[in-house]
Amino acid sequence: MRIGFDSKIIILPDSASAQTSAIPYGEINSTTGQTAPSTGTTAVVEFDNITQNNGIYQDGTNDSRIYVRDAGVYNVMYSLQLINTTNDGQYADVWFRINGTDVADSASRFGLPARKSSGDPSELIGAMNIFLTLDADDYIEVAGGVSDVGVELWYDTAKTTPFVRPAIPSVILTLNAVSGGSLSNVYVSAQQKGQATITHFANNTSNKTYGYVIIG
Amino acid sequence: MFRVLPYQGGTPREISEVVNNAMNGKTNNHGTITLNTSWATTTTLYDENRF
Repeated sequence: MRIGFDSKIIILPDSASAQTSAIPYGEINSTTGQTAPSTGTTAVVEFDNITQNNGIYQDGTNDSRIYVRDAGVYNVMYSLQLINTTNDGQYADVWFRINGTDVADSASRFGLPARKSSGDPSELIGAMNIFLTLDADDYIEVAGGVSDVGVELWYDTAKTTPFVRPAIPSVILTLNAVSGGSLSNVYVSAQQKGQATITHFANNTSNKTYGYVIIG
Repeated sequence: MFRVLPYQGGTPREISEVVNNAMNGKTNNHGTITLNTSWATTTTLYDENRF
C-alpha cells in the first residue's frame, strides 16, 4: 500500500481534456420570440437551446431555469434582442433571480425608441453581466417587466438577403465560473489507507486524465 | 512497477539498480487517474497494488 492517512498527493493535468475543459461554462439561447403576459407583470425569459455545455442543465419543465452543477462564483451575461412595436418610447426592466429570489441590485433598464413605422419596430440589444455566487444545483433566471406589451423579445431566422446572416436568437445567456481551474478544482477531499477521494467539478468529459505523485 | 528490494536485503546488483532508478526518477509512487463521467464530482484513487 502506498496511500496513507498522512500521504500528500500531487495532482496535475495529464491530457488535453483535463487541461482545457475543467472550468464550468455554458451558453443557452432561445429560438422563439417572447412576449410579456401583460404590462406591469413580471415575466421570466425562457430558453430552449443549450449551445455550449460544461456543467449546466435544465429540468425539462421550467424553460426559464438554468441550473449549474458546481458551486462557485459565475460571470453571467445575457443579451436580449428587444423590439418596440408601439408608436411611443418604451422600456424594459431586467434583472436576475437565484432559485426564484430576485438578486439585489441586479436590475437594468433598457429604453427603446418608438417604432420606425407600422410593422417596422425599433430594435435594441439589452446586455448586462454580473457575478453570481451559486451552490451546486442552484438555478438562475432572467426576469423582467415592460412598460408596454409591445416590447418583445424578437427571434428571426437565418437570412440570405440582403446578405447572408445567421438566425437572431431572442436571448443569449452565457455563464462561466470565474474561480477554479484545471489545477485548483481537483483536490484530495478524503483519504485512507489504500485509497483517496478526488473531488472535482462535475465531469462529463471523457479521457480527463490527471497524473499524480504520492509522497509520504 | 520498478523493482523494490526484499526486506531482508538485496544483492549489490539489486541495490545498485534500485538506487540508480530512484536517482533517475524511476519510482513507483506515481500514476494516472481518469475522472469519472456522467457529471460525477468525485473519483476514487486506489493503490495500484491493492488487489
